[in-house]
Amino acid sequence: MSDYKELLEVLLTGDGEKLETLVKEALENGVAANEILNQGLIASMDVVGARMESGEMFIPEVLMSAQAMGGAVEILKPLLSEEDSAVAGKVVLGTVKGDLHDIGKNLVAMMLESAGFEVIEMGVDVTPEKFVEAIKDNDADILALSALLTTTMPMMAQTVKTIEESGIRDTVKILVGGAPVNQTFADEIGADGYAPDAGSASKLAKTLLKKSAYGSIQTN
Amino acid sequence: MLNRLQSLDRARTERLHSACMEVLNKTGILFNEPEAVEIFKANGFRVDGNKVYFEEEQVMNALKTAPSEFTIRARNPEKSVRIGGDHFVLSPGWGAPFIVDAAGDSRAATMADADNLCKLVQTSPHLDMIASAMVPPKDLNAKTAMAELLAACFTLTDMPLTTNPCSRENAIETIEMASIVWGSREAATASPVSIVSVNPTSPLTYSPEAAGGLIELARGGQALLISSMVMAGLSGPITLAGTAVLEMAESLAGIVLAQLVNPGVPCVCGGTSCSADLRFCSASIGSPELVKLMAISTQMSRFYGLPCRYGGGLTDAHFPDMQAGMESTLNIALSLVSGAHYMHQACGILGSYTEMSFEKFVLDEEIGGMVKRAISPVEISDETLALDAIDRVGCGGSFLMEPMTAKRCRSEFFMPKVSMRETYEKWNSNGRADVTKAAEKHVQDRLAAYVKPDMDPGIEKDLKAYIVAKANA
Repeated sequence: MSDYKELLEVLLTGDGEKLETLVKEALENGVAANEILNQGLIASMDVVGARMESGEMFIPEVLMSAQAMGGAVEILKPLLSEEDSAVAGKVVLGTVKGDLHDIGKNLVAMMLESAGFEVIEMGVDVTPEKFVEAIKDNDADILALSALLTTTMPMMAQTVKTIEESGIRDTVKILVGGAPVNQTFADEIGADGYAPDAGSASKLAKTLLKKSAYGSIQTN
Repeated sequence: MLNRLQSLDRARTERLHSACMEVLNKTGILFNEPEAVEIFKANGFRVDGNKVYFEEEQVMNALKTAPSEFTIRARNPEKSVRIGGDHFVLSPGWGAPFIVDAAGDSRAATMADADNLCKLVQTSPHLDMIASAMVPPKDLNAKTAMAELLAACFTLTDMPLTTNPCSRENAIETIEMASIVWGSREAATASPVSIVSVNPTSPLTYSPEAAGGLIELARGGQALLISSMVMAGLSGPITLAGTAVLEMAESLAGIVLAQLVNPGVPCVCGGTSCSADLRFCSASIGSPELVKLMAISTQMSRFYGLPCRYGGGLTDAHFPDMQAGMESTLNIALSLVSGAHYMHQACGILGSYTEMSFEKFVLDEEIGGMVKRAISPVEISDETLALDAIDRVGCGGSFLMEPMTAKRCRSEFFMPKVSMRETYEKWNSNGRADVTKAAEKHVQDRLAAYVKPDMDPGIEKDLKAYIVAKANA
């Protein structure tokens, strides 16, 4: 067991170079890669997530931390067993058809990846059919839909409907988000969850998968 | 004259201009609409794929045909408005999908809300224009939604129209429906009967919908409001100078296209750019940064000889509270003071454009009325200098008994409809009701007092038939 206080401090400042040095040092000192990943990096990134949610950290600072984390994970990857590198879940993510906005969506992708999810990034202006295809091809656990325009919100409903019609609705959890979207709207269109920001999106993704795995509600 | 608000001298103005020209010339603008690219090509612009590059001379030549002021005709000719020069207009809030009621509860907007907002505009003492889709109702068929909202504007009000099409098809609808109202396409397109908002997607991109709508409406002779909402730190550089340049470049690129399609078609430049709150990555439309960007934009618009859009009853608050009042007043007042000519979103907006409040609608309207009154010039004449009265009353008297005071007591000062000016005791005995309560009652009074303006029943029938045909198409 190592002390990850310094690693946390460095991750919080977003200094990628220094973080990589620390990770390499820990490896040289014989600490297992999976321990550095889980108890060091992912645990520290949880602190970043909490500070983002509380407003202590600004999002550009969070992104610097996430980027630094990505660099450090690359060092660990070859040293992780298949089991250790298993992802928390697979998420197909995109902005619905007719909508070209992607800043919020990209942020969600970054937070999901930092939380250990594999993100299949579909980009913007994505048709319902393309989402269905991506869920099938990747055997995804979660579909995360984004819309910024009030005029494209109905396309979220259409996307959910198309997924129902294609017979794969019960294989995937659907998350929705974007400035005009709210919980009521999510309930109305039959989504499984709504997240108001990127930090809660990754938390919600984890909660939803726990729920489905154990068949009962677990709260954080 | 002392002006503390981001006053640009010649050197700073020219620096911003040349930066804007560098963006247009070096980075270019992406037009994801083949027809737009063809128009630029045919006019000798450098094009690479969908990217268009502009020479300074090409931009300045195109701007020569854009008028510095123009008129938008209203169904009631007395309500026609002039935009540009010394003339400015207030147009209501637009595009909020949710209604926040007087208790602070939020719900999806309905067609009944959209109609009621039209009625508030028609009875407004301070608004100059009606806007379609002030709230996009959830209960409409997507195929006919825009047409139904336009029909509500045309039938429930007789005011000049602001509209904001989401596609080329919506743009065509605007012109076709205006043609019904005005009797023929010629009558509706001879000079503008509407101003249409076209929004580039920052940074530096025109979607097929925006560019397609722009081309269609320029052809149809309607006034174009081509303005961006760049969010500094997100869709623009975090530094305001860079964001101001981006906004201008995007706006000018669209105006050049409009002038190539129809030289002389009226265009308004500007924006509603703001800072992002980088704790949440959301737009902060109540921020002082919006005011700084506004001050630059109004001055640069004058440099280009174009009318400018900026400001509004803008706030990030979710209730018509003190924060909403602070931010909205800051925006409305300073934009009008700085010379903005067209104020989209002048009233009703909450929650960074996501919510509409009827109560805030009439409160913002009152802010607009107060600012209009504050900036209207004080009349200086023999009568208003009142030297006779001053001499008659002399030292230590009162002017309350002067005949002029009785004659002018209802007209000389701005008379608020919602704000209270009574004593503490009166307020206390009224249950300490805040201004939102008064606004709630005022909304009800206004809706009760609404009278539908006259319209030829044949026109109304044709508008209905147009919507039915759309539904069946």
